Amino acid sequence: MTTTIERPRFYEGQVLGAAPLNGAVEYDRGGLARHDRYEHLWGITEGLELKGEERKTAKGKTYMEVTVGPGVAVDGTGRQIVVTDTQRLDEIEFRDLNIASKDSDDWYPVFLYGQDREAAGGTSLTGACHSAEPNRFAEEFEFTFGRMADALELDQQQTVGFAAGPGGAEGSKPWLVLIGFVQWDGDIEQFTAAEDAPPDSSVERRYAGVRADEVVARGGRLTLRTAARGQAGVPAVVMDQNNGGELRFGLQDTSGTVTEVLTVNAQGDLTAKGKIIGALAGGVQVESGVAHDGMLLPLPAGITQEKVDHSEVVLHVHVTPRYQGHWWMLPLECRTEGRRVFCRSYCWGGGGGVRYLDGTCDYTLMAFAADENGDGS
Amino acid sequence: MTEKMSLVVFAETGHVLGAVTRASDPEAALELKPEELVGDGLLVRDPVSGQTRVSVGPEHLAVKSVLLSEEVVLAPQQFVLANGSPQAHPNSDLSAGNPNPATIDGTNLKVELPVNVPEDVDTWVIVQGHTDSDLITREVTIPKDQKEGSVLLTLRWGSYYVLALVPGYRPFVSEELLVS
Repeated sequence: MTTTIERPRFYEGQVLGAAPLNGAVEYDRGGLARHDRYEHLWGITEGLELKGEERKTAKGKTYMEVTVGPGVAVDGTGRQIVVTDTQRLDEIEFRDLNIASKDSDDWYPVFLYGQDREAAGGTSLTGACHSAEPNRFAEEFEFTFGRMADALELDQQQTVGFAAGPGGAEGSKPWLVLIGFVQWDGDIEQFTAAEDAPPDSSVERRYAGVRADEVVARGGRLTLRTAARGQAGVPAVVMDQNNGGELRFGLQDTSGTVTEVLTVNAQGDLTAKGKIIGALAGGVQVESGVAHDGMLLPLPAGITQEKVDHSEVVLHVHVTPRYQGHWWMLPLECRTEGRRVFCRSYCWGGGGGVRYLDGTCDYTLMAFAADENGDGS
Repeated sequence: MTEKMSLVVFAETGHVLGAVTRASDPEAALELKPEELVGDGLLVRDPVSGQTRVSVGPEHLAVKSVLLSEEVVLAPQQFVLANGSPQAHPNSDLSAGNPNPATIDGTNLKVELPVNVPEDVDTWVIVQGHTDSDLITREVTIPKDQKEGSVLLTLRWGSYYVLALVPGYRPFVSEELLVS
């Protein structure tokens, strides 16, 4: 059966009961939830930072009292979850979940979820119209914990229908928002650390995002920043109509201005203040320097032996023996096998007569992107 | 000319065995692994014949980035890396006065220095046969107040070359040694 979204309509003289008024509220809630659900990606929109404060037990063992700062998140149903003030994570709740392993180095995700609770009844009516029905919902929040595997499955949470409002169906599993991780010491039953992400882990607290297939600027300049405008030293990308159109990448200063290190203009010209690493299609990478006998010539940055072995790159090498300062020095050989240098000479060694020297050469190594035939272009 | 160079050193003793510079990225030694600069092994020559005789595997080597020195880059094996900088070996050739300071006889590997040592000295010896499986690395300790040290080393019949890395001395590559 098709579900239709209905918008309340009122008329003069209408007796307003609870249903049309609730309908007006639900219509707005549903619209906002669908916006948050389909035009954004769920996660933290502001605040909700985990903070650990060091404490000591009576026996002097160190632990962390972990709190969550105020903030807002949006879950995958479009429900806004608002934490208005700092909350302490409950150690007893963690213990009672019985999820901790014996390894104190393990990390446990901290989740936030929202839920509605009917507030206590209240009415201004008296007599026959008196009712003790609740007249509002409290939009509450809860924290819970899990194992690392739970943090990896957050994108498999159950979605809601297109017409549904925030929170999903009554009794459905709450949508979990990952806000950080804690460590636990089972001996003292306390947290011992709190972080946004475990070290060396790709799983981290989840921020809200935007779903968009097209983003259009109004002022002729589109900027993507990795932090707020006032935070200096963080990377940003600017697409700008000025100068005929260009794309710039660099670090921003406190005013948000990007000091570009890489620019591409509308003619396709690339300007880089650093090095361009990696084989360029149809291009060449060059390395040069001095190498001693027996060594492999270094490859240009970004070129690997694997690329050479797979004929993705062709090497051209030029070596010349370097004069070693010995009287009557005569180069005997100066060549390469692959990248290995064979360089030796002999010289007049005074009373010792002629002797061999392991030599040193100047080299130039060029790496060409291979063409279809595996040849350097 | 770049301002830094990459030295390939024998990790246990600091003997410098090779050098290279990179004009584009002189600091890159910080990121290089020995196998990127020596492949399967760094070839060390016999100074008498001029032939490559011994291959030192990358597992025994380290790459260090130091300030460029023309003197070092031209003749790296004259130097040892000590306290982060290359210094010329203080002593003369290991073979001065004894043309065969490192010898094998099929059951023992012996290292003999020109003079007694004031304290125990750990030397490293690489024995190279005709096949890769004949590449053997051994630590030989010269005890205090002596000038010789030896370890048991059973070798099959054949010819071998020996590279001796003794603190204070330049690398020594033996002539062909026969085990019968």
